[in-house]
Amino acid sequence: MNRLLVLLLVLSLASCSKPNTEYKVRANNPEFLHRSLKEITDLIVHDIFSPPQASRIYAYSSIAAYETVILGDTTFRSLAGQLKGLDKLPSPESNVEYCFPLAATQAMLSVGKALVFSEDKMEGFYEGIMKEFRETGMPDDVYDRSIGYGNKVADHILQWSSKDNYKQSRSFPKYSIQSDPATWKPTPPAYSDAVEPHWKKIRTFVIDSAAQFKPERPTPFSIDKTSQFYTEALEVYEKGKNLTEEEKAIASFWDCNPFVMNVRGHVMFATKKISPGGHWINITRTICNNSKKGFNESAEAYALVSLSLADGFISCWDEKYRSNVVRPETYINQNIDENWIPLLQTPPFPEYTSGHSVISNSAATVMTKLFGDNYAFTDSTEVEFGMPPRQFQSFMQAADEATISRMYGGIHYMPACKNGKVQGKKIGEFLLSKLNTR
Amino acid sequence: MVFRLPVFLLLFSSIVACNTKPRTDTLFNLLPSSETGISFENKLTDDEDFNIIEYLYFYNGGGVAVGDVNNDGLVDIYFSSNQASNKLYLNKGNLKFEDVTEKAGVGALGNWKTGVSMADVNADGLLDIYVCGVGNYKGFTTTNQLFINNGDLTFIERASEYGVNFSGLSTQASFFDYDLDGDLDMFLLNHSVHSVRSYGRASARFDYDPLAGDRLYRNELDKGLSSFVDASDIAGIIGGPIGYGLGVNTSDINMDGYPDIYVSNDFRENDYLYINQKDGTFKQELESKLSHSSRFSMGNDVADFNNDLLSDIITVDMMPRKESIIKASVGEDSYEVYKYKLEYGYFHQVARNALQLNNGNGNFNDIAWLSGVADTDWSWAPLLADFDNDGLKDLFISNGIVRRPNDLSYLNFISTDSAQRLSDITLAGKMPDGKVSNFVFQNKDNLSFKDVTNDWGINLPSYSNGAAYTDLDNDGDLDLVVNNINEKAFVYENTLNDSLRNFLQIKFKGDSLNPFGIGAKVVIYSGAKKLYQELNPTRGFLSSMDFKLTFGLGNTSLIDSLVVIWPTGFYQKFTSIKVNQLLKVDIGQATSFFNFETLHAGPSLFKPFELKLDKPYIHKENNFVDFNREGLMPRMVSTEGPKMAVGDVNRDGLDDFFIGGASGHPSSLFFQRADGSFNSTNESVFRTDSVREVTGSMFFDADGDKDLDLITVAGGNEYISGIQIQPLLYVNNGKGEFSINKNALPQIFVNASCARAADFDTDGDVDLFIGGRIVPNRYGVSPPSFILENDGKGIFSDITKKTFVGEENLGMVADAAWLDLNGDRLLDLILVGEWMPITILIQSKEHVFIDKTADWKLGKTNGFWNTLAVADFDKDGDLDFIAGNQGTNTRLKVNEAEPLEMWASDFDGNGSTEQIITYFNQGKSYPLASRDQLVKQIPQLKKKYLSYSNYIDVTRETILTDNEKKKSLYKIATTFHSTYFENKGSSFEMHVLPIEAQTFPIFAIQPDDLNGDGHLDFLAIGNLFETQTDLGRYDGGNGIVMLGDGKGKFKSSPQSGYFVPGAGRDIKILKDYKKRKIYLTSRNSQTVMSYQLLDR
Repeated sequence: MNRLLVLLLVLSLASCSKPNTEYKVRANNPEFLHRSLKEITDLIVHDIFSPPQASRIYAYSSIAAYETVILGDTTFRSLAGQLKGLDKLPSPESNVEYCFPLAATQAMLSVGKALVFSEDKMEGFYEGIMKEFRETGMPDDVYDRSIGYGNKVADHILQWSSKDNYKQSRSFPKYSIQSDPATWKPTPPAYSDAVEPHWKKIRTFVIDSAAQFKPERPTPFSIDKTSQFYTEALEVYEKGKNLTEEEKAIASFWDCNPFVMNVRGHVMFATKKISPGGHWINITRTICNNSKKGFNESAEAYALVSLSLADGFISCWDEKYRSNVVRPETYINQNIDENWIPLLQTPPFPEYTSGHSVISNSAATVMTKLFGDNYAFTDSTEVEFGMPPRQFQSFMQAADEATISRMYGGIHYMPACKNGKVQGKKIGEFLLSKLNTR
Repeated sequence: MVFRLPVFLLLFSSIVACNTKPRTDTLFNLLPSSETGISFENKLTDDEDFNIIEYLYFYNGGGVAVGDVNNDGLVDIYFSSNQASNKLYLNKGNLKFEDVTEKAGVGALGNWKTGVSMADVNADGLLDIYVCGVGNYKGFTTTNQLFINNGDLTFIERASEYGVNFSGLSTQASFFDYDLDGDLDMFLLNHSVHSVRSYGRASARFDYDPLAGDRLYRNELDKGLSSFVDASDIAGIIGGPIGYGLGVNTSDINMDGYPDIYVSNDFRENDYLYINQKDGTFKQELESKLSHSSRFSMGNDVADFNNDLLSDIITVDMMPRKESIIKASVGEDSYEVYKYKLEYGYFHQVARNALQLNNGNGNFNDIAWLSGVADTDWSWAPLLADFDNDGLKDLFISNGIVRRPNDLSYLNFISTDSAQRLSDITLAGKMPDGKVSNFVFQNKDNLSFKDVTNDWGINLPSYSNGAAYTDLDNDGDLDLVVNNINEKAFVYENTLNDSLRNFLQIKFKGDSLNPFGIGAKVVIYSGAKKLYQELNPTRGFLSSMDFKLTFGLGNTSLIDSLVVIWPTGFYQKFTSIKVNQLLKVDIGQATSFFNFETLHAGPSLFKPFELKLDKPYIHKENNFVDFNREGLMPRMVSTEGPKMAVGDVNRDGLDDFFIGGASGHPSSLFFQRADGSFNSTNESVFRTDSVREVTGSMFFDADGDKDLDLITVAGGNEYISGIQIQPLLYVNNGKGEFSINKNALPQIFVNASCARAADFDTDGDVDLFIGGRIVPNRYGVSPPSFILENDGKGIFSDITKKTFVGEENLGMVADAAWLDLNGDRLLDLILVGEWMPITILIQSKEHVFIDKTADWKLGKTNGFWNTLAVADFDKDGDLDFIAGNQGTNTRLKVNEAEPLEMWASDFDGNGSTEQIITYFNQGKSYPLASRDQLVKQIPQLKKKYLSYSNYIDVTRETILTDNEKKKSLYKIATTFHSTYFENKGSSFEMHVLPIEAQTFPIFAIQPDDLNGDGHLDFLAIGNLFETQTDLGRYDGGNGIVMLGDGKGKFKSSPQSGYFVPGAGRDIKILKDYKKRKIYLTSRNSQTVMSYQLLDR
């Protein structure tokens, strides 16, 4: 509010003066970027994209912004040539003026708009933010040129995205429920179809292949009471029955289920929330703000974090449909206690490995590199979904908590958390070793 | 007035006079409350603590019980109110009523009251009233109440004294004498209120739930005690926590003299069909007697609607009729999830009304789609009764819900962030309204009903729940009383006034413990007409009917004979009964015991034949789900086996048989031995190609060595190319030992349906036609069919291109036959298949096949044809044929003007084919797929149809652009009738088979003279279970026998003894070692059934 007021004041003053470079300072405000990605997050939530789909939208829109804005800053390096299938971006015209933050915002929103369903819902936001850009005092030609260039980049990114096999994957066969009790089954209350059984066929961004970081084999299935599998299920069951308030708070805080079904009488309706990836995107915003990162560095952070999410999901989903492990809820109801209900609603895809464990650790690894170890922060991103903020001493601590939260929540056995963590860290480290943004 | 007033009409002679108000032109005339004095209204008030979200049956409404409580010859009316006082209206004659509730003391206490029934519980000749309610729940203290009639228009509540003051989640009670000890016992129907979070194991039904479990109370009146004891456990009544009981009917469903029980249960729990074991216990046998039931079953009725003296069952559900409501409502589970939920132990259920036709052998088939009564929206009370006195029971269905909780847009709305902070009551208030008209259907005989809601004048939108029919003004026709939510009850006067619509009413005087004669049965014989009713007042929903039966008789002026069978088993017979009278029957005159076997003859033609196999055979289908690849296909095409072949392959003079295996399961060849038993042989050779799903087979001499070789073709819609779908020739070494000759057939990868052998080019060897059935991943696209020419030594070459000029893709062929149609001694071809016309290919002298379908007048026969059988059915010397189609027992209604249409193309450019199928509903054509099904397959449409409301009005015109249509493959279906095609020399004339042949998709037809009259009859079997769940399983058939008259007319022989439940696939005649004809019948995923003719 205040900032806007100041902006307006400055604007009215500035418009009187002749040579106007003030707008550059005003337009180079990372809030434009943060707000744009938050808008995309809100639409992802609204349209109920599954966690892997959401990570794909984050990656393309963040890269669009990054690739655009760095053209105004030679300290950054393009990811073209570093990401699979991404060719050199179209160059801006030389010797003319651009507002690259505007172009980047335009590119991000255009890509985001194309990838979500409810594009109309973005209109109000888009018009508002563009009005703010104009009100920086930016000359009309710069404005128009930047918008045009942002669109060009967006087209390039969308063209790139169109070849990642996503479209084809829409017609791949659905998951066939198998009678083998070891295999994943639909879970109450919605008994939804399995989410994205062919996500491993989506082109990876950085990692060599979906299977590059194939985790340790899951515990062999058994219903024998002396078996390791039974013991691990019993652990989930016992834990679920004896959760402390703190453990419950942890599980709920990291739930990040985009589509929780509620049943009341005849009525079955959903509660929508951010995905695990969305949670880390929000953390990234928080940290950029805390660290007073500028537009360009923020764009870099989003790009790298979203890549760690996207490849993390591809890697994790590859394993999920390789091992097809049955969820604790199904196993426990059949073999331990038919009335047991996990604290969190079981998401509709196989158990091993834990997606949240994988991507929290890949993201935290990247963020540690960007912002340092032992970076204490308060995560208030779940406040809008009714959860109090939580404090963390480091990104890795947050990732550890997200990891164990899945066991508390009763939706994963311990190995999926532990091995998922290893998988995620490896992906994060690999990304950092491969990508060069400076 | 045209009725000839009989002597018995003394009681109401003055009332019958025609001095009533002017008639409307509709059968029913809604009487205003100001005239009737009936101002009852079931007024509901919801609040934060009690509303549709807190109590899921908040809008189920109240009931109606009718009966003459003061024995003045006029039927009185009792209404139950959920929250306010119940009301008793005394019939003062002339359709005037007086509210005597207060004086009578029958207002009934309680927080929430539900169903109501009248019965003379204490056998004093006066009707008592039993009121159910909800107690012991959410602080409610309601108990069920029994109002004992004092005989002076006052009642005393005595439930606790009688031991029936149950306080729980009661729906309704039905009084009946289950143990035939003479007194009236009570079945108490209760309902669960659990939220349906998870599909717990179905066996939870056997746990005990003190509030929601159903109960059976035995009356001790026969021991001189005025009390009931709970006999639920000993009688085998399910009293578990998952019974969402909404309807009960106590009726002798199997006509063995002992009353049975039908319970309709909402949600996931199966309905229950309890068969009385005649020893004080019941056995729940629904799963073995029905093919499926309604899913959200509400009320039910049991009555003989087709006048075959067999009780049929109707249950109602909530399938909407209006397309906009269908599209706006939550649909069925996906096929995979449906299948998965079955694993919890539940039975097949579909969310629509089920009209279960009694087959007479203890089994029922749902024919609701065929009869036109499957979809009546949010329905509560079905009542089968003859409203127009034409001798056929019509069907009334009450309908409407104050708020539709299953509206997709609503569920979408409450899933938004802002909505989740709203209170229950606010949320409930946002549910869309479901105020709709009740339905009434006129029975048109021939298993068909016609919607006459408007014609008969009951078309007011309302929230109607319990309802009762009864003759309020004693004029011989049935009036209707309907309990409405938030609106005055409807009292519809039946204005029937037609000299050709005679009637007979019957009043019963039972024995001392059951003075009103509950359970008495009446059979009327009049000419060829047979009519049947049972005095069984509790019917429909929350309601009970009158104690006098009304039979409509049409133009019958004298009844030949009438039999009354009392619950005790004694009966009396009347002959030459005058019509239009009230006949009083007294058990005192019934002296001899009735033999129920005399009602129905036993099997007339067939008896089972014991097929002695050395290895038990059961067909195993592989678990391949077509819908997982192609979500918009209407039905799967991968379960069309097994087909068989019969022949003496080891040349021992005895017929042997081959049966094809599904993918992963070897085919089998059984040799008949001299003692008539069968040995499995050649197992190793069939193991080598067991990956193939064998869909067609034929024995023929391929190599001219005078033994039978075998060709099999493969399909299954799974494999796109490769050995899995290559036809194979198995060469016989003369001793019945087979080996595959890999070089015999050219490499032609095709998902095929059939191989048909014939020497079409008259060169002395046998050639082959191979029918192409399907292209995997591209449903709708026609695969190639083939002509393979024999070189005389059993080596075949593909000459399709030469012989089918320009006609390589003939359609999705399911079956084919060679025959010379035009008498030029050259064999022609008839092809049948899916989305294609019956296709005639005439062979030219140059051995080229030319499509002459139109010339033979078959151009407009596009259907879902599965099979054909060729024979000279009308004995005129040429060959006719019968073709098995989809049948008309389906939601998809097609004709030439209103076809089923399909556009197939890669609409979203992702390399796979999608199908847009449109169907006509109430005169307009809409896409068949739900919005969710559609966007799942074509995600780009999500942007176009962001909300459900965007999709509601989409029609065949708007679902695709002209351009999209233009570049699509386009196919139609215009007939689903299985049909007899009569050869008229140069064209075929279509004769639709009788309705009994239309209740299921026919997959196999076997002509033969079955009754020895020298005329060809035929057997037919079928069913298809693997369909989109919102179409439901096609399981309306159990095998049929059609008897021919040698002139091309066929008549169903319902009690033939040929009974084939399951997915029938093939019928072959095999001669056993005694040269008897054995009718081998194969079924998908089941054993082979065999029948032989009864000795004549």
